[in-house]
Amino acid sequence: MTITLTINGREVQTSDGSSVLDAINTSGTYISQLCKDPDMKAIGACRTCLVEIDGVRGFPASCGVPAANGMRVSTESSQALEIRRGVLQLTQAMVSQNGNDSGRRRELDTALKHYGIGRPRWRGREREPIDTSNPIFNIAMDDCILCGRCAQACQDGHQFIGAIDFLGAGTGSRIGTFMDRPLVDSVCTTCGQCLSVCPTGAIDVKTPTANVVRTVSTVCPYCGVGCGIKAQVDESERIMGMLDDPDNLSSVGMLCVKGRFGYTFVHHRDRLTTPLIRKNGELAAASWDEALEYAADRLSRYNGSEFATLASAKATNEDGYIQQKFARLLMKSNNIDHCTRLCHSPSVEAMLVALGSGATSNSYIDYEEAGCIVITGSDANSNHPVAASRMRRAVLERGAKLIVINPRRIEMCDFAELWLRPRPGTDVALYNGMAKVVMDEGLSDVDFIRNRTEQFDEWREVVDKYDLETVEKITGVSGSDIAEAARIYANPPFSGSCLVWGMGITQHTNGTANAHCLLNLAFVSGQLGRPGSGISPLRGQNNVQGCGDAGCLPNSLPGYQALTEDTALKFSEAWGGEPINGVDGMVVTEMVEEALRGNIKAMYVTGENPLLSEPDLHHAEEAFKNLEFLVVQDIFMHETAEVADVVLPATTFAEKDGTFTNSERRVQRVRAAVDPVGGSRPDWEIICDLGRRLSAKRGLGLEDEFDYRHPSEIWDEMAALTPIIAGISYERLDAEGGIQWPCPTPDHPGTRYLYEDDFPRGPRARFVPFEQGPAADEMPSERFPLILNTGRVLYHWHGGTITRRAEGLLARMPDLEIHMSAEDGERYGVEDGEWIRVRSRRGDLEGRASYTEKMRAGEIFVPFVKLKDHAANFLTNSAFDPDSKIPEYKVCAVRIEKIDPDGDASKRRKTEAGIPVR
Amino acid sequence: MVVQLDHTSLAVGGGEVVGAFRDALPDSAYLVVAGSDGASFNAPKIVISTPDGAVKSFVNVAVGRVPEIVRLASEGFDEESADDPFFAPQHRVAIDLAGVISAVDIDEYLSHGGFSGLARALGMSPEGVLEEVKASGLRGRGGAYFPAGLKWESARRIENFPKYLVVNAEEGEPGIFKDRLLMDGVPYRILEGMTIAAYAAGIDQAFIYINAEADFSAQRMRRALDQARAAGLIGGNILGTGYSLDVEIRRGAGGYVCGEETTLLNTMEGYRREPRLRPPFPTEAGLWGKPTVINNPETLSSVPFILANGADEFRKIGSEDASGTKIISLSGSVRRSGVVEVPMGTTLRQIVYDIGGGPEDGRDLMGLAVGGPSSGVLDASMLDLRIAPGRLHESGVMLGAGGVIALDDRTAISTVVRSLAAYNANESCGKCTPCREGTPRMVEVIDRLIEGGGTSEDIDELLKLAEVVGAASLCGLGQAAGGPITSAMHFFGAEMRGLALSRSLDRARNARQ
Repeated sequence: MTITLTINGREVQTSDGSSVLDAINTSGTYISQLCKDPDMKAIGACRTCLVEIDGVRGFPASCGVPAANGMRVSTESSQALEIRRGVLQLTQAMVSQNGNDSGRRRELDTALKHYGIGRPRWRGREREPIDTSNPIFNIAMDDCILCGRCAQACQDGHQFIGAIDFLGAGTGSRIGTFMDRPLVDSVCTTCGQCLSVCPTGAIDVKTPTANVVRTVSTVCPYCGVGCGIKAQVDESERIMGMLDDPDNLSSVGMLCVKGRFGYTFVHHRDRLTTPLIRKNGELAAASWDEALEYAADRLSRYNGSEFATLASAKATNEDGYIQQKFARLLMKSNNIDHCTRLCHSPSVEAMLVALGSGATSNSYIDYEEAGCIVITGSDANSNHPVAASRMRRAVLERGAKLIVINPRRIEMCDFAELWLRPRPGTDVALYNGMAKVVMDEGLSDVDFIRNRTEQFDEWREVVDKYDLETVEKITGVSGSDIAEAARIYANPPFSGSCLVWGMGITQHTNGTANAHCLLNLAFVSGQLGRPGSGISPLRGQNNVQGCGDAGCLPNSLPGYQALTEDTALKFSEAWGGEPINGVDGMVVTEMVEEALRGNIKAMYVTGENPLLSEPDLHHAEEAFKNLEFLVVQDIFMHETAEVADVVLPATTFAEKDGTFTNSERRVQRVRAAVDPVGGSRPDWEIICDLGRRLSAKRGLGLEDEFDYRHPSEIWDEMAALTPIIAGISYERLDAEGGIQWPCPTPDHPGTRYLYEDDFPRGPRARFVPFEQGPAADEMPSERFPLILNTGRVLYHWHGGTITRRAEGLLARMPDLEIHMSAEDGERYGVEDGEWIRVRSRRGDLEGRASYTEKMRAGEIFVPFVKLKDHAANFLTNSAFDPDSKIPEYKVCAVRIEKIDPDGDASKRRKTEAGIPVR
Repeated sequence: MVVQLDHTSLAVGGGEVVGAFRDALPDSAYLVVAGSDGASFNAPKIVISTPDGAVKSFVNVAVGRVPEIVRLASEGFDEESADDPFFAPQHRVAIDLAGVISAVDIDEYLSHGGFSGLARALGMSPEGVLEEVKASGLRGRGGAYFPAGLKWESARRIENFPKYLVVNAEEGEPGIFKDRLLMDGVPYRILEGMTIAAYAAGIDQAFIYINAEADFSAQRMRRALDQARAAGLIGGNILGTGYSLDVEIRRGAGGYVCGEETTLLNTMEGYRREPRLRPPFPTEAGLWGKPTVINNPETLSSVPFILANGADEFRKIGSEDASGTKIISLSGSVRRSGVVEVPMGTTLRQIVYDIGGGPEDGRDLMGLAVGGPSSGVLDASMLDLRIAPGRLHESGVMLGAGGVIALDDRTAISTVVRSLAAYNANESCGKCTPCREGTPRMVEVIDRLIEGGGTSEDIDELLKLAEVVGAASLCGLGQAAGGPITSAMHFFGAEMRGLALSRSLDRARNARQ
């Protein structure tokens, strides 16, 4: 319904539920509004949007007055103007001692200028000192007008973190943290939501942005949440700032620290800007022509199973599609894989078997609508911060019950109804136990089981063995907590339940079993296929969903079309008639083994750094050095590139067009903000160029198959061959924003949640029983008494190749932190903050001990980012899950050593890839 | 023997006096601990009734007089005349039992007709009670004077459960002390009114929010609540009617602004003490987002009378357009200060002179500070104004919560205005700009005037500030903060301008030299 009201004599239409201020803004009339953020609720503190309304006494603040039909509003009556000016003069006096550099104070300066307020009417008043403790931005109280938007953004306006709020009262009011500590010592995550809403620049980066010449909407290059970002480009054609995007449906105006401040790697001096060829053992600069001719020539010597390629989950769908086309069509090889193998392959594996498709079934909005969220094996605050904010909103605003299952006390525990702390590797028993409670207490969804699943009885036979007493013994979690968690999950207080998991489930030798047990729990409770419910493996990389969707998998073609003779024929016909191989290729972990054996001779690695991300790096390095020919295509020099024969400089996300597909299956447009840095080129363009040369060398006549003018042409080709995305086009993405697959036709709106009526494998989902096996491949011993857990931290991305080059992020966390309980610290004589060594059977690393309540005695945690030449994967075990081949990153046995003060660690010999020699 | 023990008498040794009587009285004597009868100037006060019916009061009793009074009581005395000038002009509906009956024994309240209003209400439908209260014309006594029945009805109409009632006993402003008298003296009546209100509004959970410093009042309320619960008058299935009301006592978070109702709700929820934006109003979305009725103890203390005697009886009290009584907190330069209950429409002269006895010996009345720290000042020519809900005078002076502070000729208007402005600046929560930034500027300008550094522009500045802060502030504190200034300029303009004049003359003189 629309409402019509009169503003300054002109009729204005606005929607029902708008405020008078909304109507004024719709009308195009300017009115100052310092505390009202367009995306947050009215606060009513600045009192500068006051107006006169016929029949209403006084001068109400228009932000707080609901618009009503027939209302007559005046923004410019002389009395209203006088009072507004009076308030603005009082506001001006709060900041006036800082001189009069017009424009710097954003919205405040605009308002002062508009209302003709020049010289301050009041003497400036005393304000509190600037908080400079955060390495990225300051809170300058002497520029602050106490509008409250920053605190609102930190709290229920956006992030639900609550690091900052008002302290004090009256003129002593100020923005500060709990107990008035410096910001850096608070729970602040440096997400910068506060500075994005600040109307005066009181909260701003240490060096504010220069003149912005354009702003380009694109998608964040970090995690799989897929937040919308808007790159601000200045006169020097560099990205100087990153804004959140309130119109983006996945992030709804939020960003985390990496999304907002982690972009500076784009212009880092370490960017690769020219191709390199190994000559006389050294990598030397070469022209593109020279490098690509050389690479094409060398690659033309290998075929089929001798060749393997790793695609990049950081690159676009179009890049991935072209790369698998290159491998399959020109190299006759299905040996293509990507980093999903090292993160969610067990989830994908289990979902393919049980459902027929490997994707998150629900959307982020379902977290907000759920009555219960179970989050297991995922530290979402660190790894998917914006998804975590939406979960906190569910808990704090709607009263959803959050259940955390994690051996570590992650920050989400602060919001949880229940926290279950199983022993590492005992998840199967835990989920089987929960499922048994659901059945025993009559909470199972009988209709769902009867009509939409199969093999229930076989599964039940296995699960019936997991009574609470047994499970308590295996997992160490109290039976009553397990039962309570099961009850809440199966019978949430309202709406449905979402089951969310991360690497803590998958990176185990029993990863696929874990994933199956979670799916079984969802099936028996009927918690999928409805709004507010679903199964959610939280995807790691920005485009790990899309990379799989695009067919960068050894056993399936784009859109999870299983590799069969029929599908191979379909693609071969579409790709110029040259036959393609219908036999499954190898996964990453197998490629490493086969390279070591000499069966794989050549590899083409784009946007991945296996010599940091593989487990047991010494082992992996041997394998890569055993290759006859290695091409690495990336944005920075890294451990794998160091041992390559050809290195090709690619562009970052910020310099190319394309699409990313996020964790909720939303395809979103990536748009070039700046020109390619140096001589770098977009991945799709490099692969196509190499492809044309290779085709010519081989006389295949397929040059036309690698000839595109724009990524949209690649998308169109992929969409035409891929039913789940057939209805999505660049035109639609530009017009509508991101679209969630399945989207089979151009008039299809996209799909918020999957499995409402059936499953990709047919009408029934499949229960797959698993027994609890050994908790891990390697358990603590006398020599290695501690369990090492690995994962990520908020301020770094994976191995750190990118985030070490984002100065702000590095400053926030410069050292590798070894998290341990104070109890273990005392047991091994290690002080909080001491520089120590951790050793496993495979290697060692050094880092700074950090006492934390997150860890329990006997378990330590090291993030797998490489900092100061130390990385967790020096230690981890390459034992892998038999079904998905994922390595067991989450558990290995280690010990803590004090560092001999006389030894000089920097003089230790290192391998070519920079790994310390054992 | 009735000993009046409340927060005022405690401040002047009442506690010791009670202790001394407990020790000195013979076993045959019956000691009643009551609240104050409102005659604060008499505290500590005791009233002795002999078995033969003679009654005598002793005022300003010190511990040293206790043996003498005990002796007199046993020997007998002549009855004093009942025609006391402090009490005679009053009409007591809410505080009639204060100082008369025990404040710590519910049976005394019951034997004086207490809870008969509740009994009648519970025999009626909630809608019937609403109609009765609406017909009575009762308005809220906290300062806004919103019709009580309408407030309850709007909460009742909203389909959102649970709903809450909050008794706002924050009473943080200087010069207002009547809710404490009610809590100290007739806590049961507040409970009775509260229960009737909750029943009418369809509420089954109430909170009594008591000022953080009013420990004594909180103790009395807690004891009264326990006794009412034990007597089946609060809690589950009240008087066997099936209606239940849970009651909890909450303590204030400190600060005048906590009495502002949305601020009060914020503090109850654990948030910063600052007002919320309205709408939504508390009756739609108040405590924890649920419909919430917020009433003052004084308002609720009128309710039992209305239910027990009918709306018509209540309407007979007061003026045509404002029914019932108003409790006035009378202080300053008067001979008889204390808590006074008079019909609406009573003149300020009756209050200050007839009841209060006029200014202290040898002094002339200069003016009155009315309504609390932000309502305003009147000069002595305004004594014939009649008290009424809301605005008393075009200069902006309001009745507010009913404070009257008499100012005599020793007072400089500038210091009155300054101390009221300083109070507002100090109590400003800091949320909205005009109040937070404007109230200290008022003090700044007044100081300049007082110190002789001000000019006539400063006078204009002050008036402008009062206008901006009053028109633009978020809550009542800021909206009324300009009141003392505008009313002082209205009534005492010459004196205020005189402050600026001396500076202007200095300047002119300097310019000539």
